Amino acid sequence: MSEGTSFEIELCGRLADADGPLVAVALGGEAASIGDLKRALAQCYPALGEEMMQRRIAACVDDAIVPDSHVVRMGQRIALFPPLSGG
Amino acid sequence: MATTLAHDRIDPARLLGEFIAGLDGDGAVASFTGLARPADRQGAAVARLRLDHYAGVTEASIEAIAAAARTRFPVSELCIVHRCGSIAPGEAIVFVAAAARHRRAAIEAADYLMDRLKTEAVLWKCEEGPDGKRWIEPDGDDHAARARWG
Repeated sequence: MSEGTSFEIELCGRLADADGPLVAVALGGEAASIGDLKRALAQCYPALGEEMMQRRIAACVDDAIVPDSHVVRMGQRIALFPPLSGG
Repeated sequence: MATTLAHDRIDPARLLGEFIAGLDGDGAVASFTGLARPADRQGAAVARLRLDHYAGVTEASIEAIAAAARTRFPVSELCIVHRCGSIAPGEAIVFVAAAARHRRAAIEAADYLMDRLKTEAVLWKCEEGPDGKRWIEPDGDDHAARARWG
Protein backbone atom coordinates (compact mmCIF):
# COMPACT_ATOMS: atom_id res chain seq x y z
CA MET A 1 0.00 0.00 0.00
CA SER A 2 1.46 3.41 -0.98
CA GLU A 3 1.71 6.56 1.16
CA GLY A 4 -1.17 9.03 1.08
CA THR A 5 -4.66 9.50 2.41
CA SER A 6 -6.10 6.31 3.80
CA PHE A 7 -9.74 5.53 3.07
CA GLU A 8 -11.57 2.91 5.11
CA ILE A 9 -14.22 1.01 3.18
CA GLU A 10 -16.87 -1.30 4.57
CA LEU A 11 -17.57 -4.38 2.46
CA CYS A 12 -21.05 -5.87 2.65
CA GLY A 13 -22.46 -9.28 1.86
CA ARG A 14 -20.24 -11.58 -0.20
CA LEU A 15 -17.68 -8.81 -0.71
CA ALA A 16 -16.53 -9.41 2.89
CA ASP A 17 -15.77 -13.09 2.33
CA ALA A 18 -12.17 -12.78 1.18
CA ASP A 19 -10.67 -9.96 3.24
CA GLY A 20 -13.20 -9.21 5.96
CA PRO A 21 -15.78 -6.45 6.38
CA LEU A 22 -13.39 -3.51 6.65
CA VAL A 23 -10.49 -2.72 4.33
CA ALA A 24 -8.37 0.34 3.71
CA VAL A 25 -6.63 1.79 0.69
CA ALA A 26 -4.24 4.72 0.43
CA LEU A 27 -4.38 7.22 -2.40
CA GLY A 28 -2.22 10.22 -3.17
CA GLY A 29 -4.68 13.08 -2.78
CA GLU A 30 -7.05 14.18 -0.04
CA ALA A 31 -10.05 13.21 -2.13
CA ALA A 32 -10.82 10.38 -4.51
CA SER A 33 -13.68 9.20 -6.65
CA ILE A 34 -15.48 5.97 -5.92
CA GLY A 35 -14.08 4.67 -9.19
CA ASP A 36 -10.54 5.46 -7.96
CA LEU A 37 -11.23 3.60 -4.72
CA LYS A 38 -12.56 0.57 -6.57
CA ARG A 39 -9.47 0.45 -8.78
CA ALA A 40 -7.21 0.80 -5.74
CA LEU A 41 -9.11 -1.95 -3.95
CA ALA A 42 -8.70 -4.23 -6.94
CA GLN A 43 -4.94 -3.67 -6.82
CA CYS A 44 -4.51 -4.00 -3.05
CA TYR A 45 -6.93 -6.89 -2.59
CA PRO A 46 -6.68 -9.22 -5.59
CA ALA A 47 -9.59 -11.36 -4.37
CA LEU A 48 -11.80 -8.31 -4.88
CA GLY A 49 -10.39 -7.44 -8.27
CA GLU A 50 -13.04 -9.02 -10.45
CA GLU A 51 -15.85 -7.79 -8.20
CA MET A 52 -14.66 -4.19 -8.36
CA MET A 53 -14.82 -4.17 -12.14
CA GLN A 54 -18.49 -5.11 -12.15
CA ARG A 55 -21.02 -2.33 -12.50
CA ARG A 56 -23.34 -4.18 -10.13
CA ILE A 57 -21.28 -3.12 -7.11
CA ALA A 58 -22.97 -0.04 -5.63
CA ALA A 59 -21.27 2.54 -3.46
CA CYS A 60 -22.85 4.05 -0.37
CA VAL A 61 -21.35 7.24 1.10
CA ASP A 62 -22.71 8.71 4.31
CA ASP A 63 -25.84 6.58 3.92
CA ALA A 64 -26.62 7.56 0.31
CA ILE A 65 -26.06 5.54 -2.87
CA VAL A 66 -23.69 7.40 -5.16
CA PRO A 67 -22.23 6.88 -8.66
CA ASP A 68 -18.62 5.93 -9.32
CA SER A 69 -17.88 9.55 -10.22
CA HIS A 70 -18.77 10.71 -6.69
CA VAL A 71 -15.81 12.21 -4.84
CA VAL A 72 -15.15 11.24 -1.22
CA ARG A 73 -12.85 12.51 1.48
CA MET A 74 -11.17 10.74 4.35
CA GLY A 75 -13.53 10.27 7.27
CA GLN A 76 -16.68 9.75 5.27
CA ARG A 77 -18.61 6.53 5.81
CA ILE A 78 -17.95 4.51 2.65
CA ALA A 79 -19.42 1.10 1.88
CA LEU A 80 -19.69 -1.14 -1.14
CA PHE A 81 -22.83 -3.17 -1.78
CA PRO A 82 -23.14 -6.28 -3.94
CA PRO A 83 -26.60 -6.99 -5.41
CA LEU A 84 -29.30 -6.81 -2.74
CA SER A 85 -31.47 -9.75 -1.72
CA GLY A 86 -34.19 -9.07 0.78
CA GLY A 87 -37.67 -10.50 1.07
CA MET B 1 -47.31 2.88 8.53
CA ALA B 2 -44.95 0.70 10.51
CA THR B 3 -41.64 -0.69 9.34
CA THR B 4 -39.26 -2.66 11.52
CA LEU B 5 -35.93 -4.35 11.04
CA ALA B 6 -36.13 -7.17 13.57
CA HIS B 7 -32.97 -8.69 15.01
CA ASP B 8 -34.87 -11.47 16.80
CA ARG B 9 -37.49 -14.03 15.85
CA ILE B 10 -40.81 -12.61 14.70
CA ASP B 11 -44.31 -14.04 15.16
CA PRO B 12 -46.36 -13.41 11.99
CA ALA B 13 -49.65 -14.51 13.60
CA ARG B 14 -49.22 -12.01 16.42
CA LEU B 15 -48.17 -9.28 13.98
CA LEU B 16 -51.24 -9.89 11.83
CA GLY B 17 -53.52 -9.85 14.86
CA GLU B 18 -52.05 -6.56 16.08
CA PHE B 19 -52.28 -5.08 12.59
CA ILE B 20 -55.97 -5.95 12.26
CA ALA B 21 -56.72 -4.79 15.78
CA GLY B 22 -55.36 -1.35 14.92
CA LEU B 23 -57.60 -0.78 11.90
CA ASP B 24 -60.64 1.43 11.78
CA GLY B 25 -63.26 0.74 9.14
CA ASP B 26 -61.17 -1.07 6.53
CA GLY B 27 -62.80 -3.86 4.55
CA ALA B 28 -59.71 -5.78 3.43
CA VAL B 29 -56.36 -6.95 4.75
CA ALA B 30 -53.74 -8.79 2.68
CA SER B 31 -50.63 -10.18 4.28
CA PHE B 32 -47.60 -12.20 3.24
CA THR B 33 -45.11 -14.12 5.32
CA GLY B 34 -41.84 -15.37 3.89
CA LEU B 35 -40.26 -18.37 5.62
CA ALA B 36 -36.71 -19.69 5.65
CA ARG B 37 -36.52 -22.94 3.69
CA PRO B 38 -34.75 -26.07 4.98
CA ALA B 39 -33.17 -26.73 1.56
CA ASP B 40 -31.70 -24.67 -1.26
CA ARG B 41 -32.81 -24.76 -4.89
CA GLN B 42 -30.67 -27.82 -5.55
CA GLY B 43 -32.12 -29.65 -2.56
CA ALA B 44 -29.06 -29.33 -0.31
CA ALA B 45 -29.74 -28.84 3.39
CA VAL B 46 -29.72 -25.29 4.76
CA ALA B 47 -28.96 -25.08 8.46
CA ARG B 48 -29.29 -21.30 8.81
CA LEU B 49 -30.18 -18.37 6.62
CA ARG B 50 -28.10 -15.31 7.42
CA LEU B 51 -29.36 -11.87 6.50
CA ASP B 52 -26.71 -9.18 6.66
CA HIS B 53 -27.76 -5.55 6.87
CA TYR B 54 -26.12 -2.10 6.84
CA ALA B 55 -27.26 -0.12 9.85
CA GLY B 56 -29.31 2.93 9.04
CA VAL B 57 -29.42 2.40 5.31
CA THR B 58 -31.30 -0.89 5.52
CA GLU B 59 -34.01 0.64 7.70
CA ALA B 60 -34.27 3.65 5.37
CA SER B 61 -34.60 1.41 2.32
CA ILE B 62 -37.52 -0.46 3.87
CA GLU B 63 -39.20 2.79 4.92
CA ALA B 64 -38.82 4.16 1.39
CA ILE B 65 -40.49 1.09 -0.11
CA ALA B 66 -43.40 1.41 2.31
CA ALA B 67 -43.74 5.12 1.59
CA ALA B 68 -43.85 4.46 -2.15
CA ALA B 69 -46.59 1.87 -1.68
CA ARG B 70 -48.53 4.33 0.43
CA THR B 71 -48.58 6.88 -2.38
CA ARG B 72 -49.26 4.32 -5.11
CA PHE B 73 -52.19 2.40 -3.64
CA PRO B 74 -55.29 3.56 -1.74
CA VAL B 75 -54.28 1.81 1.46
CA SER B 76 -54.97 3.01 4.97
CA GLU B 77 -52.23 1.08 6.79
CA LEU B 78 -49.08 -0.82 5.90
CA CYS B 79 -46.75 -2.97 7.95
CA ILE B 80 -43.34 -4.38 7.08
CA VAL B 81 -41.32 -6.41 9.56
CA HIS B 82 -38.09 -7.77 8.09
CA ARG B 83 -35.67 -10.03 9.91
CA CYS B 84 -31.92 -9.71 9.89
CA GLY B 85 -29.29 -11.93 11.49
CA SER B 86 -29.29 -15.72 11.71
CA ILE B 87 -32.60 -17.43 10.90
CA ALA B 88 -33.49 -21.09 11.37
CA PRO B 89 -35.48 -23.03 8.75
CA GLY B 90 -39.18 -22.50 9.29
CA GLU B 91 -38.75 -19.10 10.92
CA ALA B 92 -40.25 -16.03 9.32
CA ILE B 93 -37.94 -13.86 7.22
CA VAL B 94 -40.44 -11.15 6.41
CA PHE B 95 -44.01 -10.14 7.20
CA VAL B 96 -45.95 -7.56 5.22
CA ALA B 97 -49.55 -6.47 5.57
CA ALA B 98 -51.72 -3.92 3.81
CA ALA B 99 -55.19 -2.68 4.72
CA ALA B 100 -57.65 -0.91 2.45
CA ARG B 101 -61.36 -0.36 1.94
CA HIS B 102 -61.42 -2.99 -0.80
CA ARG B 103 -59.40 -6.13 -1.46
CA ARG B 104 -57.70 -5.23 -4.75
CA ALA B 105 -55.70 -2.38 -3.29
CA ALA B 106 -54.64 -4.42 -0.27
CA ILE B 107 -53.55 -7.41 -2.36
CA GLU B 108 -51.67 -5.30 -4.90
CA ALA B 109 -49.95 -3.27 -2.21
CA ALA B 110 -48.70 -6.39 -0.43
CA ASP B 111 -47.51 -7.83 -3.76
CA TYR B 112 -45.74 -4.57 -4.59
CA LEU B 113 -44.04 -4.44 -1.20
CA MET B 114 -42.63 -7.93 -1.63
CA ASP B 115 -41.45 -7.38 -5.20
CA ARG B 116 -39.53 -4.30 -4.13
CA LEU B 117 -38.18 -5.82 -0.92
CA LYS B 118 -36.72 -8.73 -2.91
CA THR B 119 -34.58 -6.48 -5.07
CA GLU B 120 -34.23 -3.15 -3.25
CA ALA B 121 -34.17 -3.70 0.50
CA VAL B 122 -30.56 -3.29 1.64
CA LEU B 123 -30.04 -6.85 2.81
CA TRP B 124 -27.86 -9.75 1.76
CA LYS B 125 -28.97 -13.37 2.11
CA CYS B 126 -26.56 -16.22 2.70
CA GLU B 127 -27.58 -19.86 3.02
CA GLU B 128 -25.33 -21.77 5.42
CA GLY B 129 -25.27 -25.56 5.38
CA PRO B 130 -23.03 -28.57 6.00
CA ASP B 131 -21.45 -28.07 2.58
CA GLY B 132 -20.58 -24.42 3.14
CA LYS B 133 -22.36 -21.20 2.38
CA ARG B 134 -23.96 -19.67 -0.69
CA TRP B 135 -24.94 -16.04 -1.25
CA ILE B 136 -28.39 -15.54 -2.73
CA GLU B 137 -29.06 -12.87 -5.32
CA PRO B 138 -32.28 -11.89 -7.06
CA ASP B 139 -32.87 -13.94 -10.22
CA GLY B 140 -34.57 -13.08 -13.49
CA ASP B 141 -37.99 -13.81 -12.06
CA ASP B 142 -37.38 -11.41 -9.17
CA HIS B 143 -36.30 -8.63 -11.51
CA ALA B 144 -39.22 -9.31 -13.85
CA ALA B 145 -41.60 -9.14 -10.91
CA ARG B 146 -40.13 -5.81 -9.86
CA ALA B 147 -40.31 -4.48 -13.44
CA ARG B 148 -44.07 -5.07 -13.53
CA TRP B 149 -44.50 -2.01 -11.33
CA GLY B 150 -42.49 0.32 -13.54
